[in-house]
Amino acid sequence: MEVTSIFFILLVLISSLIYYGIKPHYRVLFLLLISAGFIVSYRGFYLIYILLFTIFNYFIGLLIDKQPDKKLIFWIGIIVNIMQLILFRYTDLFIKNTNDLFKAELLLVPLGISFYTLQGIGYLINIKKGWEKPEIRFTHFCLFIIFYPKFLSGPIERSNRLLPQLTPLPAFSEKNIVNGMKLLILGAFQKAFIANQLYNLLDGFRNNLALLSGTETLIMIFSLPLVLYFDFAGYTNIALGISKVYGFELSPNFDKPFLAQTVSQFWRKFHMSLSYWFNDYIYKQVSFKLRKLGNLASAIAVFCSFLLFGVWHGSGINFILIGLMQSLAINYEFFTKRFRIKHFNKYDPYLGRILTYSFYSITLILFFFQSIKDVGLVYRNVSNTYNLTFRFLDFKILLYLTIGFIILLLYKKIRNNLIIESLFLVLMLVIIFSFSNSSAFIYQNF
Amino acid sequence: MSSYRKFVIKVGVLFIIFLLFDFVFGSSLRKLYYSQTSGLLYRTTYSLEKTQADILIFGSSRANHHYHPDIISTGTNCSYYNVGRDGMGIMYHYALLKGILERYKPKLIILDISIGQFSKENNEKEKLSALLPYYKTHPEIRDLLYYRGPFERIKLHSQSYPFNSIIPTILVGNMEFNKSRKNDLLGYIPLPTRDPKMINYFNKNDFYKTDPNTIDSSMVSFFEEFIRTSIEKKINLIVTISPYLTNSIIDDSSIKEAIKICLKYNIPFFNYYYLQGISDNKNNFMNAMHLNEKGSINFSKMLLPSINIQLNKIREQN
Repeated sequence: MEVTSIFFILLVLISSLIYYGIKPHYRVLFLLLISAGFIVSYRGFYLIYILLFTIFNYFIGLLIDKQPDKKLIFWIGIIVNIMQLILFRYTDLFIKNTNDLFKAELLLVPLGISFYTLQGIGYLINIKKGWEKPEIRFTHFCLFIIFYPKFLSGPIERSNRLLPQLTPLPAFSEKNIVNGMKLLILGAFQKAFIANQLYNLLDGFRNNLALLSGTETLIMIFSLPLVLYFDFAGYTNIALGISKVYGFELSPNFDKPFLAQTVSQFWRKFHMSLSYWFNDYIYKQVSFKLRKLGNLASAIAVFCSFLLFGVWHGSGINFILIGLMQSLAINYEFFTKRFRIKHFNKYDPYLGRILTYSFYSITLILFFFQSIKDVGLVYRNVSNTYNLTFRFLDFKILLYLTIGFIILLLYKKIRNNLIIESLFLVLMLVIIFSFSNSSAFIYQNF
Repeated sequence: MSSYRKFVIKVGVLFIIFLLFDFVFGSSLRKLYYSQTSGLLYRTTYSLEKTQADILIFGSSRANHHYHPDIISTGTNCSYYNVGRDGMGIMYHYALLKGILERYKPKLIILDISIGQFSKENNEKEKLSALLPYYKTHPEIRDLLYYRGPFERIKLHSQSYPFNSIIPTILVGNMEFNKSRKNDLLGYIPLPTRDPKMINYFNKNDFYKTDPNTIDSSMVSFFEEFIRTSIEKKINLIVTISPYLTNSIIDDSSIKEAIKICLKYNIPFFNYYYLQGISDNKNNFMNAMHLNEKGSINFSKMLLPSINIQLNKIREQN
């Protein structure tokens, strides 16, 4: 199901009319039905798997609360959650051997598994810690896991944030539907136009990696955060917009991340649902357990959190390195804070923003180029000739991007004027229609 | 009246405006699409609706750039048109074949296939979007277009949808500079020469093997359907793999499947992925997978005797 298509946008609008038209006690079932339909539109296997996952976590949640031996059941739940993620995401052999045995493509990496696994683990931890009671209604818990706007790439929703919104369900609000649709269109525009053009720009460089000049290499490196941001922020806005249409507020994922002045600040503004998840469930727990070590506890906790953060993205050494680099930068900032404030405060915020953006760009080389050879080529190309000859920079794409950024900037400014805002939305829809193709979201593979 | 009902009425009105806009916009795009007289989209229209050539070349970019019209048409004394199109796979070409055969029967079809032709990664169903503009006027290709997705039948009620994502191409195709420019030779596009130092070989190792699990069996079925349709309509068919810039031994699962099927139907199969004198000389190539114009001339000359053998068989049958 192409979520950046006009057809999908229309389907969301129509579904909202049906949703508010039916009796309230059928609405959760309705959302379950369309969520199931959404997942099945990719593959039936994904729905079967996520339902099994949901049933398992539902019962574990109930048992943790009811059974005297909470710890054992809790750890069974956590270990099974982690093992199923490892088996599917990090062990090609499991899938390959099963499919070879049955001579059919029975198993695939379940779409969205990395996201809903963290949701499941977070839910069980919340119950064990007494931060929330288990959800008794299976329909509500199921909707928390499979709710379709967040299925593909999050946000990684907390159970104690979404479940309370289901009781009672939000009433019909024209404002919610209109604002939700606006956010959905904005997100689709960010993905279908801007992110895709940035991706085309990047591909132009990646397909000729050995031949790039120093200038082109730098342009490529510094465009990497923008590629990831617009792809992911586009999807997040789509997810938040659709949820708003039904009256729900999902967790935001971005808060002007490129204005961050330090790497620590950056991770409080970029992919926030993931970084806060690791902060609450890994960092705080580890640093509390090791509190007797003082500042060292914090450093170890940061290291553990970001190591797991890297591993969550993938099993390759490059993802582990990305995590390690973040932890080194954050620990460096922590231990040198006084020194930096004393000597560099006058250059804030600009120096900090430039350094943070540059650091993130460099780490993203490992995200976008997964072979050691290609990573080496990129780093080596930085020392190539610097000139103003751009053999692999497509100026047509630059023109499209300029138009796209102008539209975005102007849209933010004119939103008080209803007619002009409507015209901008129509323009975005026409552009979505003209430029959308079915390229997947980058984080859809996680 | 409740706020919900008022909102439903507003959405209803918006929907009617949307349908009107879709009709006007779609009709305008259709007119602009068909008013092009050169370029990629025009060539697709010409291939499907106009060509009456004796020899048709089907395939992806490699077909489009490798079979030189002057060499083939002069060498065979037959008219020629190249219906190859960049990035297009067997589903597209099977649909194209069905459309063409509704109008006339060429004497000979050359189907150029590539290494990895039936790979799952080729995303062939998506690429059928190139034929969406012909949905209304070519009922024979509709069944294939429905493979794009479960909602395709619904979406194709829209006037604008067939032109989804090609609006910039349509607009540019109608600009004056584009109308006066003829950049193809009977559908064939010559590729320029490139500094050989900038060209890498297709495969660095001596041996290149692909995993049979990467094959999309439905694409293999479409290849077989292409062959069966040609036989049913009594069209002579040659399947070829044109040269790559390579010194490797290629063990490709797609090629093996293609050979199996060609043997089953007794279709001539010319595996020229490595042709001595062409594949080992970078001066023939623009990149590892595409011959430049000089390379296409050399390859077309080498292929000519095989084409003439097929044509002579046709003449003898007649």
